[in-house]
Amino acid sequence: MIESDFKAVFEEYRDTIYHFAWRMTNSQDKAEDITQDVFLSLLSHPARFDATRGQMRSFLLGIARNLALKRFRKDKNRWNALEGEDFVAQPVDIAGRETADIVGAAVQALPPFQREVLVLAQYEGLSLEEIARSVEAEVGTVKSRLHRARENLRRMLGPLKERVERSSRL
Amino acid sequence: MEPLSDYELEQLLNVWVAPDAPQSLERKLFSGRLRWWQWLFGRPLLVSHRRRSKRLRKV
Repeated sequence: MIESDFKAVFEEYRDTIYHFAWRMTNSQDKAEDITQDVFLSLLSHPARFDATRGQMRSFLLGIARNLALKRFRKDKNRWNALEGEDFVAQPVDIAGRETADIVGAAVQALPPFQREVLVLAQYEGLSLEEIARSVEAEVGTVKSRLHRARENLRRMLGPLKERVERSSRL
Repeated sequence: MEPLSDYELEQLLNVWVAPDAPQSLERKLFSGRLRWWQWLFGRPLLVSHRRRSKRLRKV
């Protein structure tokens, strides 16, 4: 891959990758490290991208996802909860907190496998098929993780219902 | 407590906005440091191969 091609890819996808990494790790430093490693990986192994198997965006997000999970695996407590099928969220305490912070904390509280599909679908606008390719899972698995993620968020963010209704009325 | 509707959940999720990638990222990737990293990536295999050859010659 020549430098101008690499730069064009970087310009187009850096924010996408950084946003995803930031939402997965909740840390600007970690998100920056992951984004840097994603592009270095592309530079070192450009042949790994196969345009017949999907778009560059899903390919890069797949690398970012693996790097983020590698960090979770280092943390033994989180590793046990990667899938988190049994995870049942509790309503969050909203007193004195900004809505954006509460939503962010609720997404952060999801088990990583639920969080990644939620972030890819909700914030990156990937189709179920693209998400399945990025997270190396079946479309059915992605669907059920996404469903569980939304149910958990509905439960956690329930106390914000009044705020949403109030802002809709304005 | 009445659960959130799809629309309400959607509205709430849209409130959480991620910051854009910092400029330092571009500097890290496109400064001389990148070439240093590129050099480093190709290096370990070469070194280990040479060392192995030397070891084999000694045997």
